[in-house]
Amino acid sequence: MQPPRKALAFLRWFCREDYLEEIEGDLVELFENRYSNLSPTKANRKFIWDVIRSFRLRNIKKIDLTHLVYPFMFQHYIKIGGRQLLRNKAFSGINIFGLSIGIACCLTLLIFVGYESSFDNFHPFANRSYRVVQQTQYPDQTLYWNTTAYPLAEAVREDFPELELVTQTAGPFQRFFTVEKEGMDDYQFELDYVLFIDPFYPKAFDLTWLAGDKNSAFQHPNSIVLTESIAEKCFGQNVSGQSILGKTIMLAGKDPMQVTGIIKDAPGNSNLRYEMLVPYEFFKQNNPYPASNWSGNYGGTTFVVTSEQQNPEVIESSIATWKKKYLTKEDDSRISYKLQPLAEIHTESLYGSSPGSYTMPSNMLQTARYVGIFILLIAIGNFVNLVTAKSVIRAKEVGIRKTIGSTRFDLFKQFTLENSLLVAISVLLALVFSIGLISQANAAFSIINLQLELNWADVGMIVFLGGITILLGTAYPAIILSSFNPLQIIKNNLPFTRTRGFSVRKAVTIFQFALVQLFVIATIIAAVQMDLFRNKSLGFTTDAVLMLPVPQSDKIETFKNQLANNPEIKDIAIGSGPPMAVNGFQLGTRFRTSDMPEADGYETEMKIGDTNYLDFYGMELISGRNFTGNKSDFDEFIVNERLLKSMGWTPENAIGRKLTINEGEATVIGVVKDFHNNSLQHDISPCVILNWNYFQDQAFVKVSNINPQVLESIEQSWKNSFTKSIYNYEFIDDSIAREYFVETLSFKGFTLFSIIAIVIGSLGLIGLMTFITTQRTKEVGIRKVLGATVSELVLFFLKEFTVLIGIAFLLALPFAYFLMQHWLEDFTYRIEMSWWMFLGGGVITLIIAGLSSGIQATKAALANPIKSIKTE
Amino acid sequence: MAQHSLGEFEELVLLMVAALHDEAYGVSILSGLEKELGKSLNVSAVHVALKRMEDKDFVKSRFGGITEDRGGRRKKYYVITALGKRVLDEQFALRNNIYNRIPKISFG
Repeated sequence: MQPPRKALAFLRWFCREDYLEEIEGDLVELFENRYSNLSPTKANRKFIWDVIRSFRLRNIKKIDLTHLVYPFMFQHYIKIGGRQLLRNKAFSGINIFGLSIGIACCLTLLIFVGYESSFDNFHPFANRSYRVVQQTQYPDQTLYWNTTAYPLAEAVREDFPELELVTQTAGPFQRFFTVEKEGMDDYQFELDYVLFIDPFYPKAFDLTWLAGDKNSAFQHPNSIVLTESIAEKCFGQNVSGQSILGKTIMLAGKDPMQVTGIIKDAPGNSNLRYEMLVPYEFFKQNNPYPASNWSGNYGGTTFVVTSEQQNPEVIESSIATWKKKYLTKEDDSRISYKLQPLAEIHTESLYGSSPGSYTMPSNMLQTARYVGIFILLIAIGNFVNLVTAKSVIRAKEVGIRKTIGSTRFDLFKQFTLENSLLVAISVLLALVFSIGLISQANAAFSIINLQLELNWADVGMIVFLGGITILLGTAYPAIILSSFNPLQIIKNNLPFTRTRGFSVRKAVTIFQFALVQLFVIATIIAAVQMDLFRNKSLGFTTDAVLMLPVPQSDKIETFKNQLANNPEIKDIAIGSGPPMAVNGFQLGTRFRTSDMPEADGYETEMKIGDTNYLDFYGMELISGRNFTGNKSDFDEFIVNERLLKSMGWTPENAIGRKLTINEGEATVIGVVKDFHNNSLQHDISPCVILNWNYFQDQAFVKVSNINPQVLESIEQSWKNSFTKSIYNYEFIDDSIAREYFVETLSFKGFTLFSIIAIVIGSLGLIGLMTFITTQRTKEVGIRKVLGATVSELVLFFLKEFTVLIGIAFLLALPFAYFLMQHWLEDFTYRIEMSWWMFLGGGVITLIIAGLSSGIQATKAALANPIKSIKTE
Repeated sequence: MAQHSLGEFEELVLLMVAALHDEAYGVSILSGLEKELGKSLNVSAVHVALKRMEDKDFVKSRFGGITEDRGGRRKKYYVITALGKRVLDEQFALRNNIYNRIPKISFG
């Protein structure tokens, strides 16, 4: 005669203790009565019903929440946690350092990605603003322009009144300014980014006015709007904006411009660079030819803002049928206009970047985001491994705590709290690290005006990352630790004795090292590719060559004569630019034979050199001869091999043929061996070299060695020859290196982050090795007594890691291959991936991991066996 | 009266506690009530009423001795307190008063 056991157990489980005896007693008595009076089944059924009816809020055990916030235990946990930190200084140090580096890297990368994705999203109509881009279709190729003909904007505004805004800019161009100062020398300066804008521009794009306003500032063509920093440069730091208004600045030494406004500097996360704004009207008056020319592209940009309901594709297609109104028949068939969303300007590299800006391909941002998350995962994996390893040492503490009454939840709380302490310290450190990293990055990339900053949202993110770390990193060890069976632990049966076979710890390690090896392999491949960029023979020499502007072509001879006196100057040449196009500057033209119709011509690059140009750069003539003597007009061409290929000529039979380019006709007198006239992302293109004194606006100076004296003397000679101009110079190899900015950035990123990944991963291994050796102390002792040597023991420990890293390597291999294949595809001149790059990555990781964990293993193997066997 | 509220079922249980005097515990109260009311009740309703009235100091309780019945669980005996008795009296008086005012002619 027993009441149903399950129901009774349920009652005992939920019922509060002070009520239980009475309720259980009454229910059992009723059951007994019914059992004898009614029937056993009925009694059973009614008992169950009674239990269910007794399941009321009043009878349920009160969940005691007081201990959750009970300050005494909380203080106790903090104290014990603090002691643990201090006691295992090396261990805590490794852990905190690894985690904070990981969080800092992840945060910095995410800030970087956020910054790069925020380009121009702050303008009032950002989501419906478009840049008009142009595609020009030639028989042999399509050209992509981010600039359009100047008259386009006005015509579109006239004929598409349904568009909300149409605005245009010219430039940014380089201009030269003079500020007259009473009683002092005039202040002269040159700006690279002078932007000419029409009155619609301030409506479409965000400008912050410190003085003046957008309605009045651009009314008169001869007005000028300064950015804050330029205003400070011209008029001093403490002059109020209002007092500058109305002052006069001379543009190019001849046009007086009146200051009508001061605006804040252009933000870093904008593709629209400017240091000074001038009305477009002024540009139009002074450059009537380009401003009215429909077929040329002279640095004008057109933007449109659609109204809410408009579909950009519809506008694109109506422009496509409309443009024949203005374009010649030939241009109409060649040119098509597209609308590029403002948000894509920064991430779409097809159309190139506008002057002073750069494009950041969106796949690169994606990569950066993944790299950040991977680094964080490696660091968290590390944290988990280290905390788990450390917990073994504390197994006894857990046993004793359980024996004297700690519940599993108490222990879970204790370990979570302790680990939260670690994480909190790491998060604080990470904040410091990332502030450092950000300022480093800003300094390193000042060339692209990088302005990363930490704001509150990011601090929120870091706290969130810390929270995730606590969740992921703590839950596992805390659950494991609190599940220890006290009896076993006190009897010295340590948990985690399973060291063979699969375990979460091993999975974490494999995952970590798969990521680490992915980074290392990527770095090796990127390094080899960068090496190609730096050291590939370009077909011309670049060492110690300075490039200087030639503002007055009639003074070139004076300049040359001045330099000839300096023995350290080896050679001088004059031209339009170095053999490889740098700073986005290239002269374009089209060539054909005189009997071909104009439309069938080929796109080509036009380069201006003097008689010394080829010799200066060590470019090799494979047939014909060099230029002789200076002529004011050109009648001779030297062409490259690539050009011959498109005409089907051989170097020999090309000599003496006539070629027509847009600028006129001349005879081919020489063929130069192909050289890289484009940066290595792109193929070599056809090129004609002219000896023409027009466009000879750069001087190239080769020095025997670079030192301040030489630079000074060159500057002096330059200033003696060209008066009233601003001196500047650059080294050609620097300019060429700048062409690989994005590639250099990703290479540096790969290097930095693979180093960090290896460091964090190795820290984890050290921790893991400590854990394993501690566990097997006795085993090591016995093996030693039985005659194992130290090296045998070390190998014995390392064997397991070798296997783990081997598995990780196999996992990383396919990912590394496909990712890097994808990366390399962007380059015309690229390296072939070969097996040693992959194997090298594996071996490097193995060696570093082996070294770091080997130290720990050696320490264990060297220990005195007597001591370890004696341990109980 | 407001501070000494007494529900209908509570009143019945309290009456039964008083009537059973010293022999009132869950099962005896339940069977007494079932017999008087002529319908079956659930014991947990009785428990809840007792606990509520104990909180309101209308009854007090003590444990009985251990017996072999009831799975070895002690009975919990309830007795009515002076307060409980007064509340009952007031309740009774109140009803009586109003009852007496019913005019006889209404139900000829």
